[in-house]
Amino acid sequence: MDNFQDNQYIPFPSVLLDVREENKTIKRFLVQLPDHLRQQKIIPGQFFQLSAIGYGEIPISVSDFDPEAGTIMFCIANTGSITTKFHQLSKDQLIGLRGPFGNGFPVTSFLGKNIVLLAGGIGLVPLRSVVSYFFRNPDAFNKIEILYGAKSTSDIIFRNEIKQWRLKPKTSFKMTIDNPEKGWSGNTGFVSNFLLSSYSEKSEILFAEDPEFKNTKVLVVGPPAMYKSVFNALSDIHFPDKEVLLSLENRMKCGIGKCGHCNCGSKYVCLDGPIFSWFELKNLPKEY
Amino acid sequence: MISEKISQQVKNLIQQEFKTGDVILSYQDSGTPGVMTPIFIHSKEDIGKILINSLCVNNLAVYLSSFFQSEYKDIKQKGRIIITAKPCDAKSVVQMISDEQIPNEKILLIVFECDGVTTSRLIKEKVNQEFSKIDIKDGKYIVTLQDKQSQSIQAEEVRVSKCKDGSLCDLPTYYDYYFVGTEKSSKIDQHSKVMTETPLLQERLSRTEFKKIVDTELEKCIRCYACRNICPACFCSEKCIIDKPKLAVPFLDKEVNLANNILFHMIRFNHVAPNCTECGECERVCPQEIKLSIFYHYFNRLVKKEFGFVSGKSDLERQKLLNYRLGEELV
Amino acid sequence: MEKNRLNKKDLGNFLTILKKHYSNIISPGLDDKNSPVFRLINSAQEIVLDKITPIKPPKEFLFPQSEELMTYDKNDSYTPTRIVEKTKFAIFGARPCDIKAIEYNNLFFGNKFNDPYYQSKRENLLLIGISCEFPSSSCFCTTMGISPVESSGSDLFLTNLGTDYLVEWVSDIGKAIQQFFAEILTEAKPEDEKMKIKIEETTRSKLVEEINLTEIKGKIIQTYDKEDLWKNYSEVCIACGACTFNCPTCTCFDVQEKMESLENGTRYRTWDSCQFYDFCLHASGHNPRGTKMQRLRQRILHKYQYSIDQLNQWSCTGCGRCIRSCPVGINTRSILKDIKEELHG
Repeated sequence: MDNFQDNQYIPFPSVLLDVREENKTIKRFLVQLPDHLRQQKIIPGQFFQLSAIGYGEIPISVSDFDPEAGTIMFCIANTGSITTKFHQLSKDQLIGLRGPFGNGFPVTSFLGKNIVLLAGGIGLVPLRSVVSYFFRNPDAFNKIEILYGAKSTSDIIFRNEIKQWRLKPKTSFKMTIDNPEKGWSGNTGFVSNFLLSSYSEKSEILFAEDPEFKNTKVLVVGPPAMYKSVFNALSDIHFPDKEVLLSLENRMKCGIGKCGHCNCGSKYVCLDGPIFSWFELKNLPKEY
Repeated sequence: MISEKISQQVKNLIQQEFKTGDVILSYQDSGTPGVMTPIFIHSKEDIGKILINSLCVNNLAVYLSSFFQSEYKDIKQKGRIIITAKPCDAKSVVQMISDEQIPNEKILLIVFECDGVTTSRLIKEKVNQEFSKIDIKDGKYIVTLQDKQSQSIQAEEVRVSKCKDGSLCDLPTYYDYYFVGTEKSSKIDQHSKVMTETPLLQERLSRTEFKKIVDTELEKCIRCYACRNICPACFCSEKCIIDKPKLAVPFLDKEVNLANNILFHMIRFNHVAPNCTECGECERVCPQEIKLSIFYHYFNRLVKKEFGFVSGKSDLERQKLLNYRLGEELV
Repeated sequence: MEKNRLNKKDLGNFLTILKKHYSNIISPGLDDKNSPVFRLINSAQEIVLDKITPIKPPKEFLFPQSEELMTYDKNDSYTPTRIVEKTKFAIFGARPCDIKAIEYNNLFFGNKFNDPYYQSKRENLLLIGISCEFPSSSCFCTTMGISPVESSGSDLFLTNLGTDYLVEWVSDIGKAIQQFFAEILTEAKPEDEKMKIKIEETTRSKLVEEINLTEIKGKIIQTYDKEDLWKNYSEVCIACGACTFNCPTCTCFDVQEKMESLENGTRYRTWDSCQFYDFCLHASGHNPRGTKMQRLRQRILHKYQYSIDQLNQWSCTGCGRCIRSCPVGINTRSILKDIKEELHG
């Protein structure tokens, strides 16, 4: 009963290997993977329940997972009482880890597919795990296109990684910030612009390479406000709803479908999600 | 007994007064024998559903504050709120007006004379059986039992305990309509002070005795918060401090134990004491049957003694604890 | 199924033998106000079976209101609270509505991820059921497809035959302990089955109403957008949570940490209610179920639709406790009738 595998409620202590700032609200935490998880496949899009010991637990998506080094990386935004406690932690301190939970993106079914990643702001955090997966398993997909929209230049995260992504094979990267800024010569406007046929910087895959959407999936993660404009744009180009995957958020406590907080209709976001297809989302009540 | 005549008169008045956009708060049959349930009526056709009788024990004043609070985004009340109330409920309404929680121009307060109400639980205890139907006739409750037999009970045999104390059902000085005409049951003794003369209130108890009562009663609490939610005087609603343990009260955690229960109830006693009209709903709804009214009577009378303020009497008198006038002596 | 008769005079002996194998026996007794309540008993005299079922269900013995999950030490992380529930206990006198509720909870807590805290108690439980002869005016078990005399889900099941009880040894555990009682058991008679049917008919006739739900089973989600139907009840609802606390299949809980000192503390879980405002409240302030209408609808749909989608079973057993507990008289049967009318006109 004291074995961690039997009792999914008990967090495992993990050491923080590194803590650093991404932007003014987000910090990244590099955590030593516990031994019993080293053999387990952690699928991009899954999440862990992280405990700030003594304060509480929060569900955080995996941002990067390195099976050889045995590390896992999370990004936490300073928005509430427990996340504030996380931001006060530093290297070599302990946190509690429970998981991995959730269904994750079905990356094994992406063989031969073009993957368009549409990330709004902090949505880039879980999508980054898909990118890392691709770089470690280059035959898993055909190619990826990363479309990232940040609120402003000071909100941009993963700056170093972005530089590398621009250089990788079978990978393209475009980004935008919401409003024009002094010193910014790149795109401005919402990230859904990349889905408009009239936009000069529109998605290559959706409009040039696979305009009949035979082989493409779109992965969308972002704040709730972004989904509306993205879905409108995808409707306009008649992109099939079963091929759009997104990540839902809801209040969670147990992470294993028992406490009842995260339910959305007959689905639990922690068990049947957090990844749902747009088609499935249309059949769920709007309670997320 | 609250007569059918009163029920009909109230309905007729409402028919005349009702305008589109108004909402009526009254009572209807719930489908469970002996239980009347509140009803919100938005259109004229539904006025026929109203039924007022001596089983109407709910205090409808509790629903008023949410019409005027900004966090209730789905309630858009354009017209008036027509509320039917017993004198004890009317006091709650008047106290809310006095506390400026609800604007009196938006309320139409219809009061009906009452000589005591009862609950299905009290009737069940009296006949010592489950029943499938209750009819009211000639000042008696005719109870149809599960074996189809019937039994009749006098109204005064099953009155709620608060109704035995005449000092709790005085009419406030503010109301819009008042219908008289109870029939065929014995009047409540206006001089009876059975609720108010409990030992607790006469302050004859020692500290240890008082603590014993507190511990025995509050040990049973399961923190369902029904008492808080049904209380008209608790109008913090969704901003209640108890719901925000991390923000405001780090020492009140969600765990259910005697210490936390005492803290929760003490917070409520103190917050509510000046504007509590002793309607007794908290005790009625408690699933653990905790004798909450003894505490609320106690704190209420303390406030009355110290500040000379009687809640629920007048819409114009402001309670002393929330108001200060220049030059007033400091308490 | 193995059956025997047990003379009512031997109930005391029955309990004495039972106590040797199951040290704690929980049964309906009377509290200081003469209301029935499930609690630990020491003798057969304390058992009260001729009243309506206690308003608090026996779920607290398998799923306590507040339960410590683990302790923590800031320098060492979390240690699970030893689940030393090795004390075997028996619940004597649970009616089919409560037995079916425990059956549902077993399914729920064991689904996909196992809940070891619940399981360790369930493994040590012997569930002794009894036929229901005293329904309340709020009961509607037959509406939910449960018979007041059905024994499925229990370990052993008693039926009142007059001077004797009929004892059915239902589960493998029940069958395994039958031998311990051999001395006080007598043979069941063929006519005993008829007595069960008679009791079922009598109890059914005492129910205030029975609603046929077969046509709408699985279709209740179609009322999701009928806001007026839900508002009729949610306007009156005060969101107190009493219905969820007394419901035998409501199992939602909150998990919190409590500091005992600056270095250590505990993490515990405690009953939570989907009717509370902050149940779904996000840290950002967004509340997917911020109105009472949404929360009331969620409760009804969970009991009558989502549980079928997830586990292929109604989670409501018609015990009527929600109706008995509601401070403002909301009647779940009325809601079901309204839904039926809405779907079928």
